[in-house]
Amino acid sequence: MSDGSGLGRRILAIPFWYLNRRFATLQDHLDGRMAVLDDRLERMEGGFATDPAFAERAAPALRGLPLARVGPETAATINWAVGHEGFSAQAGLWFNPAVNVQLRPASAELVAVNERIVEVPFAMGVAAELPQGSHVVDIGSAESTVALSLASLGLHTTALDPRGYPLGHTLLDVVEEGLFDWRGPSEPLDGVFCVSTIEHLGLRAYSQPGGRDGGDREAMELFLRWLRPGGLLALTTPYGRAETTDFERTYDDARLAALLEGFEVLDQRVYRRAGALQWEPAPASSADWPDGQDGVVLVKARRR
Amino acid sequence: MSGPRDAARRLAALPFWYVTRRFATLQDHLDHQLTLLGERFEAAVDPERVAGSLHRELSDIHLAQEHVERLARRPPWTELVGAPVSKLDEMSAAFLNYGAGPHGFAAQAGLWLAPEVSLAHSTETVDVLSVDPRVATVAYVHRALAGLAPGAAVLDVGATGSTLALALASSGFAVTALDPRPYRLEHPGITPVASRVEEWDGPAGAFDAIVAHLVMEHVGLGAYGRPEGPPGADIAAMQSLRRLARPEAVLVLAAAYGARGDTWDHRVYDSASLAGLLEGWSVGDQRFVRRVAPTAWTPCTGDEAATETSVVMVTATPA
Repeated sequence: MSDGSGLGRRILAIPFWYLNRRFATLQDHLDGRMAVLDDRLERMEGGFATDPAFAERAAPALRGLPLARVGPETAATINWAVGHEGFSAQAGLWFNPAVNVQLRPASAELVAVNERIVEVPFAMGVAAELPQGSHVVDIGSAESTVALSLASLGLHTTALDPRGYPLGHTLLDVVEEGLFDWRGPSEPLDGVFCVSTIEHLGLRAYSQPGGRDGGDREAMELFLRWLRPGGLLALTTPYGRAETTDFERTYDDARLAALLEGFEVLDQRVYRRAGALQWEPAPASSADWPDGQDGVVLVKARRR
Repeated sequence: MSGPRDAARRLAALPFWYVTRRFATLQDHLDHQLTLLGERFEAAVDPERVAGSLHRELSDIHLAQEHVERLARRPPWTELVGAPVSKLDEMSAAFLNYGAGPHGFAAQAGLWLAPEVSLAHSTETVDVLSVDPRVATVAYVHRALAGLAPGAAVLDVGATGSTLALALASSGFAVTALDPRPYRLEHPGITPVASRVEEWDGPAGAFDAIVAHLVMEHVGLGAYGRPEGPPGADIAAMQSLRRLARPEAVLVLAAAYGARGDTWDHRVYDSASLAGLLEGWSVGDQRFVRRVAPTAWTPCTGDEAATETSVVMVTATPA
């Protein structure tokens, strides 16, 4: 039976029940959101150890990620990204480092030292003999900071490379052309820098057409024409048993002598690889050079 | 007796106090939770050291939260391998900048070698961020040592973090790499010495050349995680180098110069302080480069260098 008093109680009961449920729902909801926030804080405060997969993928966003947390995929990705085919290379901003460091899971490792470790100091020694304001060309300048160093030391520098040169300086002119296509300098040069380049000229290296087997000697003829009398050449190139591949030449003493015809050699040094991480001076003779032995010859010469 | 009218009055009155009480309870609960969260934030931030930076820290944390959420949704890192640079996204770029930078992973292994050209990855591209004065100073060191005889004994002060000692050893010099931090590039021609220069009791008159390349400005200060030394530690260091040099030795010095003013971790020399530093040395060659853009250093006069961000390069012999 329903009378007035019973109806009142029923009406009175509805808000309690309803409000209770709504408040409980709201509180559960807020507690849930708080728990999520709390969990995020927990992760950010260093609780990654509980979830290595998450740490591997998500933690790098946080500054200060320790090396110990670097996993194989992070290491591989960074190695590629900063390497010779990675993002910086695609932007024309990969500079072949003399010392190659690779990341490994939770560590970093020295994997190779290349001939730049002796070539660049030698080239700078040649630059030392040129007064500020001298005009020089760096042949095959891409992937190297040599041209920028020359300009920074006060030399008017032309960076010549078919791939261009990504660095700018008031004393630096960039010529994005192949050596044989360039019309040459507007005035006689005081110096030509040819660091690890002559061995590729005329061959199908670095997307060049190739087909000029004597491209190295043709280049030297151009250098002789461009240099003023007494102008200096800094030349570095692979040394050892004479060989020519599609990519590069290796010079023995006879080949080198022919290459340098017209120049007076002022200094000639040979270095050899003595391990993945080591280069050292070697006897300056290719007569009994071992097969497969990496070497490099550094030449300072003067136009006669 | 309660009739329908009483019930209606109670109905009208009760929800207000009930709602008020429940809201008060809920608010207390939220306040408590927020206080706990706030304490955790505050515990993470030393208020004395970074006074006023709490807000920034919280913003960073918020940003990091967003990164975490986006990273959790993003494909694995390895999918970047082989991708064109146009696929480089903001997050990967930020990670590469950190991971390959001076506080990144190679650095943590002691194998970060300061590049002459620093790069910045960003969305769809890579740009030159800055050019270090090493682009001129390393070349200057090599030019200054070009006349040195093969096998000469060279001391590289503050060798760590640079390939200079390795380059000199590879070129045929007997190099002593002096640095409180370990020198990680091994070569038979390198003798590493773990010491601060001002504390090293090295062999007197033993070196044909001494290279102090961008290091004297840090000596004795709290740079590179080293404890601070006494004032004038750079002068004392140069005096000790004087003792280590052969009478005909070559000193090659490169140091910060100009108008920037000293900071907690490095000095900036001017003509007077440089003269003090070089007391006991006879200067044979002195030249300057100044920063003309974030990406360019160019030769300049001493007067120009004095008012700019510059580096002085000196070749000297014992006086």
